[in-house]
Amino acid sequence: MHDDHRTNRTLRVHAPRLLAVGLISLIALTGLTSCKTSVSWKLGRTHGAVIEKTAARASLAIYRKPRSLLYQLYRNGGTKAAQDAIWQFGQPPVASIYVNGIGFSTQVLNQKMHGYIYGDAADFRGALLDAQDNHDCLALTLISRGAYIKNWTHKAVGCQMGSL
Amino acid sequence: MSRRTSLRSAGTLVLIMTLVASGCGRHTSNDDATEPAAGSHREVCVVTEVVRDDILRRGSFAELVERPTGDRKLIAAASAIALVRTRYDGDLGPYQAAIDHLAQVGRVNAEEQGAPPEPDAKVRASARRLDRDLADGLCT
Repeated sequence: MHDDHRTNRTLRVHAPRLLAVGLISLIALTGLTSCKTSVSWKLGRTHGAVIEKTAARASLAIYRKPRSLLYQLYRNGGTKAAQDAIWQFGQPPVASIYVNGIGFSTQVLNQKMHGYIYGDAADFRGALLDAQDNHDCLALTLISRGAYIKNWTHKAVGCQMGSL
Repeated sequence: MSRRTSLRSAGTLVLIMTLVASGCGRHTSNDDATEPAAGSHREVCVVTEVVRDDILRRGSFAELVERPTGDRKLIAAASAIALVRTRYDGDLGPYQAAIDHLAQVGRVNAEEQGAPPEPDAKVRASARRLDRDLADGLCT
């Protein structure tokens, strides 16, 4: 990831030429503001972005129905099986984002996501259990209060039921 | 990847991210070119990879579909397949019946609504065909 001179009002979208899903429509999903934008892409029914404007926080959320499947896989097949399934069913990146000079290029997200999923099994497992217990989304927070972080957590804000 | 569009968001902070993963890329580079064609044999390999590597090990799909409701291995495998099928939902040809059956078992179990389906002759035949083709190197 790298700082960028782009303004916080500029959003860049890179649509990989080979990606079969086509162009995405950009709308930002937020839980704490009246902003009516969200991100949608081919598998928006299973996961999406959660934006909390006040906290300047951005997370990726796996919605409740697929989260429940993931929990069953973890409970009966173990942590690694659950991690492997996330890696399998996630999408290649279709967007990059820069806000207030920080953000993720498509390439950087590609490089880092495997580590996000597999890097801390205990963090991942704990968040999945909490998400299941609280009927929340399983969430991976990557930006908070203007800083890069990496935190598996559970989230009700911006969470959707999703579908399978 | 070339830059295709540029958008402006007036008056708001917009944070967007996306999940990065490649269906075939678990043990390879995350390259779009490795994405399996829908309905291809490679797709069934992707759909069953977690089950083959993490759950079945020396077991078979024919044995898996016969396991009783509530069996841990069945639930794990069915959950994995149901998850991955949300992305890879192409026609799997002779393997479709077995995979769809397992996916349905996974969905019903996760949603805790109703009884999971029982395998029928078509599902059993499809599972046996998958086992035979895997043994013959379908996914190697």
